[in-house]
Amino acid sequence: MDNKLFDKTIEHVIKYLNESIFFEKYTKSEGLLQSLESRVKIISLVIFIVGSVLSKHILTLLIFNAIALLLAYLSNIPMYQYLKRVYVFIPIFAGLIAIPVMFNIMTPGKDLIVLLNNPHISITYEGVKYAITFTLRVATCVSFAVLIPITTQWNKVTSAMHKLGIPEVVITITNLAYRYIFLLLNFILDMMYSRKSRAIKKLGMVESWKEAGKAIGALFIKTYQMGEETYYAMLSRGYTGEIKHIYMEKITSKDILFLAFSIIITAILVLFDRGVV
Amino acid sequence: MHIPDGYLGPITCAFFYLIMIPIWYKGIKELKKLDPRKLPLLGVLTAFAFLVMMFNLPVPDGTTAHMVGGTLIAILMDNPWVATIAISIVLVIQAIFFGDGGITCIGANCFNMGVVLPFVGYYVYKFLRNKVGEVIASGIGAYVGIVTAAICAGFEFGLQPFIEPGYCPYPFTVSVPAMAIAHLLTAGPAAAVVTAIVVWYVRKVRPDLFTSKEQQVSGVNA
Repeated sequence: MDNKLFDKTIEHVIKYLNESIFFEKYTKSEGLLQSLESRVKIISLVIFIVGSVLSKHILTLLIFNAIALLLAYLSNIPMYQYLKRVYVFIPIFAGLIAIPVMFNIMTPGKDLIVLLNNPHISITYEGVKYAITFTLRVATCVSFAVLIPITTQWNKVTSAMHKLGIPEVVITITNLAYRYIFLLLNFILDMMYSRKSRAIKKLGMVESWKEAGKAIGALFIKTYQMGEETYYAMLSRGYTGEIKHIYMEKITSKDILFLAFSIIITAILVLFDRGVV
Repeated sequence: MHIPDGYLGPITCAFFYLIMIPIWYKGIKELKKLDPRKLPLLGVLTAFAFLVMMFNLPVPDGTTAHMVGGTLIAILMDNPWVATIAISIVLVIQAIFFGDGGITCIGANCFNMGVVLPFVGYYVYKFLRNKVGEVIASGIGAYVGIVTAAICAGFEFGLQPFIEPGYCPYPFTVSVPAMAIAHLLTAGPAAAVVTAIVVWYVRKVRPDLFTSKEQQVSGVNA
């Protein structure tokens, strides 16, 4: 029995589970980014992302993109998997959004291809340049952003954030949430499978919403109880209202070199982009 | 409504980070006032906020949409700050680990979905609660909340051609109606019905969770 609520939700949950398993696999392999201190790595990658957002020219964006690919290569991430992840979906969607920009109605300029003479409709050089720059910038940002989870275990990301000054209470909530997300994803999966197996007719749209409402209601009650149980479980193990985070990573000269490299390269590229260099 | 990297220019991104810093600060201060026992609850509630977004709701245009759950959490916890922090953490987890929404746009996304949506939704609900009953009020709250948040996102997109050309190419006249209509007709009604049903369901199955403030804190096993 086809039903979008059940099928799409199951698909979505499985996609997320797969993704995190995929990421986890490469965080443990040997490579450049994996060997860096987490704080340095996250800051460097964010600097690259900011640099990409600041860039306005195709050439600069291509150089940033090449740096991301090089970092992925040096971190032993299989290129095919990486490219698939980076260049499918998010950039394709950005590309679709950018299509109307190519025409002279949105971006007047030199005609590249004339589609209609009266009224004059054409694809302009400026329009194509705009669309390519926009899509490429989105892709470049994604290519750096994806390197964070692919080379860093999540608990290192949260400890690094704590070291960078995010309050303890936020980190504790994030850590708890991240763990429970996976437990509860499986719970949703079970709920959807069992409900789907009992469906004897196709559900209408509003009926699907009601089903989703009941499922989410049950989920809320479940999580509420879990929150209470978790508290007692933590209390019985010595929870005092504060969680100490152990941070073993140390910044070495290699990390400082990498950070300096990121800052200098990004600065040069952004200045080059603005026509200063 | 998750804005990816590259859609908003650097000035807009920086601006929303600056706006969010005092809001996050205030939110965390509000959380610290809560019973420490509520901390684990907030953890699982944040996970819940994440999971609400996993439900793919079929919508009239033939595709599926998801709701954000900000209004729902604000109503169920009777505190919009809880929703702000929970949704913000969810958005950070999604941006870093799942590629939903950009890292440079975390500020803007948190503002739209973590501040505008739960606060508008919650106060609409509060205003209507005694007039039309809490189930219908929660539905209307969720609807107004999600549509307002979408209009905010549309406004942020629409500002780009004027202040920072080269990013999102569409001006207000295109982006605001596009975002508003999509949410008025598709995700909005879905979010309204689902939120109302959840509130109805939870109140019916576990009325004890909401009888008093005190019980919200400790009365689960009672």
